[in-house]
Amino acid sequence: MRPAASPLPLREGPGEGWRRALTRSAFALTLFLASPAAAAEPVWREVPWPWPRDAWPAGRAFRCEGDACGPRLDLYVRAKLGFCNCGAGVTDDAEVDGTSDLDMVSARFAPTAPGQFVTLAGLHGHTRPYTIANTRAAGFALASTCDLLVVLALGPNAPTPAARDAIASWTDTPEIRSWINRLLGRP
Amino acid sequence: MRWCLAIGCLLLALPAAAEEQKIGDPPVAVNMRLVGYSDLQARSAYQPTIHRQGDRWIAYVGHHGGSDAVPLPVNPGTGQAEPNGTSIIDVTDPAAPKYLKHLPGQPGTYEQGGAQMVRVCNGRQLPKGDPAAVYMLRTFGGEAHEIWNVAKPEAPVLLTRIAGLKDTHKNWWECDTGIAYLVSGSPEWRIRRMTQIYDLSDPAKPVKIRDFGLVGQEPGSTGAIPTELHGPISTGPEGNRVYFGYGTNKGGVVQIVDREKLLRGAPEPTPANLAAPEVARLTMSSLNGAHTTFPMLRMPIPEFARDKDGSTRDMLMIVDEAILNECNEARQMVWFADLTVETRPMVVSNYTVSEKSGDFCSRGGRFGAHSSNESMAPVFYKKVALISFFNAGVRAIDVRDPYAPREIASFVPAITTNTDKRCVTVEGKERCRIAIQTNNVETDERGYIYIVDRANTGMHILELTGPARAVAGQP
Repeated sequence: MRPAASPLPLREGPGEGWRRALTRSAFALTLFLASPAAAAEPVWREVPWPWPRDAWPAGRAFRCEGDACGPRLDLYVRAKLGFCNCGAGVTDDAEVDGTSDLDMVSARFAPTAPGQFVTLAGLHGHTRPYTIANTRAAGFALASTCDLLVVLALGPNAPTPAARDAIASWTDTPEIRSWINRLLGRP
Repeated sequence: MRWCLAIGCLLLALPAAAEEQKIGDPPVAVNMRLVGYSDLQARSAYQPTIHRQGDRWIAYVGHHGGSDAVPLPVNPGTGQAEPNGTSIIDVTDPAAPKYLKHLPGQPGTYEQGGAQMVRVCNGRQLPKGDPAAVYMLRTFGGEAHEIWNVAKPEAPVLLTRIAGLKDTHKNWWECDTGIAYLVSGSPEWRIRRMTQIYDLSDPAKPVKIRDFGLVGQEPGSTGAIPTELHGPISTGPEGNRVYFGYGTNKGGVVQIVDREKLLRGAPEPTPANLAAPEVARLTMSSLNGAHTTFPMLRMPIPEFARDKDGSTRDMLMIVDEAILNECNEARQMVWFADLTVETRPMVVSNYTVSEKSGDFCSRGGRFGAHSSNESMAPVFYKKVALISFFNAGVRAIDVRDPYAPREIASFVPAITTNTDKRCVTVEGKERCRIAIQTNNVETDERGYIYIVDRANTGMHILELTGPARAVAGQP
């Protein structure tokens, strides 16, 4: 039996309650020890990939809490090998509409503004804001020669510059950057 | 002891099968024979189309753009470095092909340039064609479709250009009506490739009929975008169906369309107008795409011969395309769908080359299906299907019982000094191997088989031998 599609809010896997409790404790400790400014820093943790199998192998899912992320920001990251224009890269909004995994959540989504250039994890591409399933989203499609890295951010603040900065910082951390490079076969 | 010896022999034999191809190694042939060869000026090849012109047989071969290493191969005929375009070869004597002309295409490397697709119709068959003309419809990179008069194949003359596109690909042209299904990229549409239908019955005066695609791909729509088109095959007015294949190696969809409704329906690309001509669709596993959708209608099924109903079936052969090197994706292969109950298409059988038979995932380059022959000439139609399988060469399948297809012949060409490398990244480092990459295959009415190589090895002309020849009923 496959998991149901569009699991909003995210379902948690086995042991997730403990992980969440630990994370919350750590988060509370951080709040206690740190300055008010530091308390606003995004806190990321990995959650199980919630989507059913589709054309591409599953990626990794992360959840962010902290002022920049809003009440909650969910991030889904995966590679789509061989799915990019090898020469031109990601050149228009239609590619973000078609590739950034919005359809994992719902087939019904609508862009709320034109896209713009973006760089994440050292990769260049486009990002665009959307409304989907009663929330807001930002889709990212980033080119690595003939391969794509796609990132979907879901949450009330997902399309904001603050959330984009938080996502950029997170995907630039050594652990995540190294994983992305492995995914895409980059040095 | 004997068992140990047997196992030892087996172990010794395995690495031999796993070896990469080396220059000087002979081709590997089973029930197929190499008849002739052209190096195609070491250009990466896509579609071959073989056309009879009077008493001559001419092969038109579309090319991808050049490689990073050699973006503009030199044409020995002119001494000029030319962007890959269309090779025109006289194959009247298949044992001694004569390279007649290289017609340059759009500058650019790999899929960014060249002129991949080519179809040919005689002027006397087209309703409003010049009876003295032979028309070649080709893509010009991603930006245009062109029609040339190739009555003198060594001296083509450009007639028409349909430009302003963002991509093109595997067209279909009905020679008896002139209707052309041009795989195009209209800039307003939400996907890279969709269909533009033209009346090319007078190739000098193209008349656009309509744009077409899956609902959700049209301009102005929102939400999920269905998989982009790869290519259609029409059965013409007689069959009144067009089989559109969407997806390449992912999210495949076969759309069965009523041709008459498609051509006569309201042309505005509204959701209702796009949905109107659709008879049915087969949504494939997301792991596979539909590259070629080849109809084989009204086939008697031997196993069902004595059944009171359903002894004759309408079949569709669906060929996926492998796109990633060294098996970095799900297997792309061949599927046979039963369309007898047209609104309930069902896949009933499949075919793939055994990976283990040649350790193909380790040989380098792509392994998996790419395309089939598309000629419906009686010599092979509904008897033998030819499938290009990249590093596993070409495979001939006995499809007389499409519920139980079986391989009857194969040919893996030898590599040459022209054969280009294919690379993968392993732990951050590029590793390259050289392997044959049989990309496309076509047949002619005489029964010759033409295979062309994506990795610049050229074109091999083959024929079936032995029991495989008997399956086709060839003398």
